[in-house]
Amino acid sequence: MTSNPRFIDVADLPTIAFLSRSPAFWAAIGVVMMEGTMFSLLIASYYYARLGVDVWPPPGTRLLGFTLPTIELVLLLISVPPAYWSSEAAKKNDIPKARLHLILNVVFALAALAVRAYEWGTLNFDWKANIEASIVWMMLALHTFELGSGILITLFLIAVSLTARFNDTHRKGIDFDSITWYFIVGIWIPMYATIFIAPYIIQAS
Amino acid sequence: MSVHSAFAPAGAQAARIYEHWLLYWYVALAVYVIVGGAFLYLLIRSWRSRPESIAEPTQPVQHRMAKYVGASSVATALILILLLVSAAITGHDLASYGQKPNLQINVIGHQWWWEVQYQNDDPSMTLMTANEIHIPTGQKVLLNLTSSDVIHSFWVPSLNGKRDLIPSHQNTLTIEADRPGVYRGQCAEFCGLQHAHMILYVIAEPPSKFSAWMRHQLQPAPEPVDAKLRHGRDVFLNEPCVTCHTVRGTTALGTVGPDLTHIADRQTIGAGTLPNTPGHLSGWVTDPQRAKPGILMPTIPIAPNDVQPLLVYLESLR
Amino acid sequence: MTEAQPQPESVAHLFEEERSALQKVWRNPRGLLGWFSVTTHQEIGRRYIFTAFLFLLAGGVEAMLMRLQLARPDNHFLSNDFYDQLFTMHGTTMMFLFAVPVLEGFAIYLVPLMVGTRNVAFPRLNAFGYWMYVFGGIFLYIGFLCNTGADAGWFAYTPLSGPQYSPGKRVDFWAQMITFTEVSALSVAVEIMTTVLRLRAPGMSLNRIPIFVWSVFVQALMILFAMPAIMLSSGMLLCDRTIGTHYFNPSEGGDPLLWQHLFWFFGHPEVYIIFIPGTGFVSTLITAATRRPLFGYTAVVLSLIATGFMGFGLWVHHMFATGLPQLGASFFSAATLVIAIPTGVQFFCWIATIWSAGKLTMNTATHFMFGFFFIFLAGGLTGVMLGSVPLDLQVHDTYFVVAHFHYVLIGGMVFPLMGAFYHWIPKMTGRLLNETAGKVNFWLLFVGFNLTFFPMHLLGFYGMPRRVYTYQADTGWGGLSELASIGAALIALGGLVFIGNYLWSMRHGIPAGNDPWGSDTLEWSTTSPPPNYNYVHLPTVSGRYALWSRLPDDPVVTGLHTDRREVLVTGILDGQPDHRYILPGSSIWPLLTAIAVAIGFIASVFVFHDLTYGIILTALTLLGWFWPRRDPRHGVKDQS
Repeated sequence: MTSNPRFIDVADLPTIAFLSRSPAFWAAIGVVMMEGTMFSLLIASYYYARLGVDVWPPPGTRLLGFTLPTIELVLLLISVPPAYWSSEAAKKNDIPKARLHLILNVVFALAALAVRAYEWGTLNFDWKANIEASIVWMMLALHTFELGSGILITLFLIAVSLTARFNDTHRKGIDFDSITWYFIVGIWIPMYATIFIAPYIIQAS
Repeated sequence: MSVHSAFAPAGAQAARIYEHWLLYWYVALAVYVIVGGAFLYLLIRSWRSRPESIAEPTQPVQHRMAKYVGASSVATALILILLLVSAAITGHDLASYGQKPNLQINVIGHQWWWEVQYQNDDPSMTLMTANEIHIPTGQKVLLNLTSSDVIHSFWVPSLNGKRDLIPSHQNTLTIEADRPGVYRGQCAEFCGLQHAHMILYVIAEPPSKFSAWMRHQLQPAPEPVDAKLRHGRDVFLNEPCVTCHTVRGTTALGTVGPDLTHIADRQTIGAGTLPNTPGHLSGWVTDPQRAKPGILMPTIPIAPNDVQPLLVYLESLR
Repeated sequence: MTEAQPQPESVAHLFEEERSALQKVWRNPRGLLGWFSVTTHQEIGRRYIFTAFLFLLAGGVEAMLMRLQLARPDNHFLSNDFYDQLFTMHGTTMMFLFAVPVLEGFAIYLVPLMVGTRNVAFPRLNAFGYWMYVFGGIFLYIGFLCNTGADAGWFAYTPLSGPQYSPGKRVDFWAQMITFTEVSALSVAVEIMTTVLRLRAPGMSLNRIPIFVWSVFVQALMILFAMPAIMLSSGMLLCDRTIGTHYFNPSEGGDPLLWQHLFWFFGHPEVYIIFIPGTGFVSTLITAATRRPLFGYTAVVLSLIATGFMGFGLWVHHMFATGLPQLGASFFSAATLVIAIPTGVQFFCWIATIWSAGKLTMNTATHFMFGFFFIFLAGGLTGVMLGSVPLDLQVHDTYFVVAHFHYVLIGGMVFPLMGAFYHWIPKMTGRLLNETAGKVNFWLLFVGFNLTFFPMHLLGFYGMPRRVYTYQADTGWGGLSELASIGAALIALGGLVFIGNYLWSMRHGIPAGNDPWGSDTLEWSTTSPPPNYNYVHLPTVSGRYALWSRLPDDPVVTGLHTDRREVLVTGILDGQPDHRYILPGSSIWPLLTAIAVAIGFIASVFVFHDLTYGIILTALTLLGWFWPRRDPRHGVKDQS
């Protein structure tokens, strides 16, 4: 300790910040980096498998319809703006508005999940059928896990926002939730294209 | 005495790789002497007590250092480009050695032995054998490589680099021996419990001797000439041996294990595990799990008075 | 922000008040439950280092047993089955349970100190990562001790590691251990990335970050992109083995080579994940030894980033023998050679640093630094050799490769690590290690290492493949193998000397004081060992070499609360104060969450859908972790 130090006094600084100023944002970026890599490798594996065989889809699976999956994708895309608006409202400390948009987001997300559950049920093959089946099942399973986790976090934040204990940590949590939601929906676009659209382009018998 | 060193090439491909190696070795040696020498010099020069001042080097010194670092980095890049070009040329040369082979042999990897099939347009001239590959000297031999189970790797260092044997993939490797000799190889991809004993021999002979060998190998097993041999053959055909092994000229048509039609001609038993002598053969047949623990050949109890005739029969399979 | 001129008499009194308040708030909780609830970075960093060292010893014993078996041809000291488990456990332990965790431990311990803050950005995640690592290691070793040790190699190529050729649970234990350790490494990577970006001291702009911090920052980014590949592939392998998927099964369209691509997409960056912090150690030790700034700071930082980036473009060089098209192989061959350029740049900058310094402190840490120079240089050169496809096709999967990677990993990471031990154990414990024993330690390791691994280059050319439990007498490999085994004994002896030195020095070692080496980074300005809050007032920085450029009237940070754990967030580029950030205190939830996840992972190895119980349990423990609290320490209303 020096004898005559000068001070930089930070007592007046806020205790909360959003987006890239906040450490939680970087945690979300870390999640995006790792999950993004994982899903990208899964997508790459799908095309790698296609290169290795002559018949596509391989015996045991079939070309999948894309009507329901497209509806599901649209529902997911519609759920994104409410996520954005909820984090904007959280920044302005407008909790009722944030809660409203979180609820909107969850409603569309659950609707998408319901459509997915239905179409998953109509798949007449399981993961043991062949390589394509194995990859498609893993894509569906992992992504649905992400979807479910995102929905659960949103439900938790909605619940806490109804109590008196809602504080700055949860406002940052809404920010974190939104960023991961953008990723969860965004990464589904190439996966949807790979599972439902690409087979029509790369098929061979 | 077999040859098995990448430093003792006996064929065009291995020799070309050895030349290429020499360039890399001399470059690496030179770099190590220069850079390592710099560190050694600094060590010797710097062996003094703890310095007192923490001054930045002067501007001229900084400048000089920057030039040296820059020049060394450029030199590094140039050396690497040289090495890369050499690698590309060597790779191209090796590929060209593989044009227009004289002989094609399929090699199929198994846990833990090598199935060898000599290809011929005439089906009656295709030959099945195991663990030893005879080739004529001075001729290009194309090996078609695949596996029936896990990944193995074909490697005879005195003749060429290695190539993997991968199930559901077809790979190729060309070998050519300049002179007669026995060239040892070993599986070079971990393939399970007896990876260490998946050895093979490439035996190169002058073309006339090779043709004679081929003609002899195509013969089926000779009929037993005496009672003991007949007894031995009966033991062989009645024991479970026939489930896995083939002896052409008999009813034994199993393909799980090596073809035994000319087993007595081979130098080793069990893919190089033991020398092929009566004593070792006896131990192998009565208790293969002891000789090569973990292999797929089970230890089957054989009645004591059946053992000797069986061995005599197997030794007659020349 | 205000700048105030304080009254001299009240300063000391104020300081004492703050110090004791911080002491109270940052204290680690007592008792058994308390020990499991710790979230301070110094304690967790030390735990990582200590645990990793135990695994290093286990891996060393495995290596010694292998060398005993290989010392003679046709040896029957070990069975083939046990030998296969040993080499698998040795590689797996060293790569997953020692190398990465020990570097993570140093990162967790040093980064907050070096950037001038009090803890990592996510303290509970930090604790969680440690427990996941420990559980994964214990899980693997319980398997080993119950004769269910993994035995398909640390790289577990399919189809050998698949359900048909490796029945039973052995490879399942291996594959699931991977999941544990990767979750742990990813947690640490997220923390280090965030701490380096956001919690730096005021004035520590990007170009003033210590090189070691840069190196673990690059490592963190690499981990985030590389580890998912092996999590995915080991998950695929587990599915193939337990529920009948066909990722690697050729008869249903799968491909054994898919495993190799996914594994090596992780595996090659993994070795740079291990090597890059090693160079971070070297850059720090060289500054301490010469008491000079590192020459070419910018070039070194760019080299670290370039190496990290390019490391993702080399992975196919592990697959040159699989029959790839020549054009593809040439690209990866070129990339393998070109990555030598940034490493070369670092070497030349180190030479320039010593050259212009003229004087060196030849303590034990400096000895190990020179050990790195001489050993890693050889390893790097053999790496260039392996980059040539024709050459690789001769020496791939032989003892030449074993020699190469031990030269680059032991030379490139373990020797700098030993130097780091001698340099920082005094900071961590308050005692200097004995220098005489240190030099004996160094020479035993240096001579032993070269005696063990140099002959292996020759063995590779003479035809000796890897992963063989024995070899025949007529191969002629006996003499060199015996030499290698003698060298291994010397390495073991060196390890024992180090342990002895540590134990002796903890009792009788010279007290270190704050700064025994006259170093430049911030950790040397606080006590040895540092208090849990690191600095009573967070420091500011006015130059790249913080302590060397410090002036008597350099400001410190005041205004942070002392009744809760609070740190300062600063700008990414310029290090200007931005806002205050409240950290959680001790918590049992990281441990409970790790237990829940472990239950899910372990149960699913035996019954796949038991994973759902793990998911439910984890959701419950996460609920506990994030349960909204009334306590102001865990989040307050905005006060501005």
